[in-house]
Amino acid sequence: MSNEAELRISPVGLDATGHKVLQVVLALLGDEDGIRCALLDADDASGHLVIVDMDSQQGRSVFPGLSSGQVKLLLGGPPASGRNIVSLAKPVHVNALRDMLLKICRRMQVQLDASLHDLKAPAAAPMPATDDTAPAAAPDLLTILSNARREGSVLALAIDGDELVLVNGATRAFAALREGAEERLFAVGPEQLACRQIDEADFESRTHGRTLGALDNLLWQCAVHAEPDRLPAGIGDETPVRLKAWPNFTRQGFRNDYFRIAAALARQPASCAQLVETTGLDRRSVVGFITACNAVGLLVALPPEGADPEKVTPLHKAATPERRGLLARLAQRLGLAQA
Amino acid sequence: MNGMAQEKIIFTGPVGAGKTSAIAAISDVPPVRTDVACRGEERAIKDTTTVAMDYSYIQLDDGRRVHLYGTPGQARFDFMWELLTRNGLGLVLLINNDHPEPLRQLDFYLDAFADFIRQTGVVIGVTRMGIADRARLDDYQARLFERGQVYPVFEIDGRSGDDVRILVQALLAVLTI
Ligand SMILES: Nc1nc2c(ncn2[C@@H]2O[C@H](COP(=O)(O)OP(=O)(O)OP(=O)(O)O)[C@@H](O)[C@H]2O)c(=O)[nH]1
Ligand SMILES: [Mg+2]
Repeated sequence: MSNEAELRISPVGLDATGHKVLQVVLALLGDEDGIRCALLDADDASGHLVIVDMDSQQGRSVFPGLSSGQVKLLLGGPPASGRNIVSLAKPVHVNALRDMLLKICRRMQVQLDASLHDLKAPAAAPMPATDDTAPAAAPDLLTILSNARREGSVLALAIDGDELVLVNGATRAFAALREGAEERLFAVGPEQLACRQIDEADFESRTHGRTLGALDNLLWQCAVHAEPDRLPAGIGDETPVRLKAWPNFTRQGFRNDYFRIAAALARQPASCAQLVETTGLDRRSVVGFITACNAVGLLVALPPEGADPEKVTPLHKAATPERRGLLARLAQRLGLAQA
Repeated sequence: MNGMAQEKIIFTGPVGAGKTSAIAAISDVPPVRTDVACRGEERAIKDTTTVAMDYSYIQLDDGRRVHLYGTPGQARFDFMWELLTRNGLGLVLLINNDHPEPLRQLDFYLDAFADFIRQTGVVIGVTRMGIADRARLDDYQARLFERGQVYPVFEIDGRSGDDVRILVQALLAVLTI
């Protein structure tokens, strides 16, 4: 299950060899770079990305009619430049085309994939942990905060009628109204928790002069605090997940177990079960990390083959045993938990 | 000092990013400026250039030392970075957030050290965060995302031993997982 938007590619005017090269490159992108694209028919020039053979009659006639929003990759022909236009000289080699497409796809996915905007602005839906066997249960804090983040809603959270925290999902901010308010919210069950919608002006006036925190920080802490023993909905034990970015640990307290899970996931997509095995950590840590990353929109669930180690190019080489020994001693010497 | 030791961690980044401070914050002795000879093995043996680097070390309990080198801040030495990093353990990249274009600096250094990073690993520390509001940590995350690179990135104070130790800890996690 992938929640990434698929990139559609139109091949225009490519000859048989050009088509073969493109197909090989797309297979490599899918298998090794985890980027999946849909190749449209030769007469369908509606793709997000249009690859045009400028030495062909069809290419030259279609090119001027393409929309300015489409990205154009021109093969051969005279050098061209302009917004959304890149060119590649002929003969087109697999490696050169792959590098070029990799760059383009990554740029375009940033614009395309709604969940990517999650890194910067409210958008896609991270899946909150829900208990589908008990639909009538009151939503827990993690679900409430995740929904506010997704929907951009503005809320007041209270225990026993005492409002403790105000949340603004639109600006992704929160403010504690009392000392230790967050911890009190984390400590109670969903039955004791009350939440009501307030308007933005209310949020503004009541938080005036208070320190605003990042909602993602609150969500992260909430997810970690909950120490869930089950994965978020939509992610199974064997579902490979990809980490979109290294989490912002700056004010999250620093946990070596999370560093190790993040390092493993940064290397290549993996499932919860695989992470437990590669890190040697207990399942609770891994579930906590996955839940927290999911809550702040840093995870992408992949189709089952996404974590096949044979198909993924690791970001770094593994250290030799000798180096590992040295690094472990360094960790010890610096008073760091054993890496 | 002539050649470079192998058990080394390289600290790099633009002028004023906090390289000297960070090395000083975790090393056993205050960093010194030292001339390091870079000998191009592919080139003629006598083709040797020296670069002034910050140098200090951390002594391990078995007597070995992990050497810490800080590259000079100016990019004019970038042609030698391949040699300076050869056989190194990993890279600590510091970016001063009050630089006019911190994200371009990030791109520049990640590209310049791309091979070394592929062979080992990198951790990024963003320093001087409170001074000028040029970019937030999620801008760095987003830039790394665009580059397709999930590298550890932290907001740190380059002068704080605790902060620099966190960087090293993340680097060790990356290198040993
Ligand atoms: N406010 C603040 N100051 C810092 C931080 N890190 C370093 N500094 C200060 O910034 C200045 C530059 O730090 P250095 O450690 O000399 O930087 P450098 O990277 O070695 O600089 P060059 O050797 O010139 O390339 C010093 O005055 C440090 O005390 C930080 O995180 N915040
Ligand atoms: Mg210095």
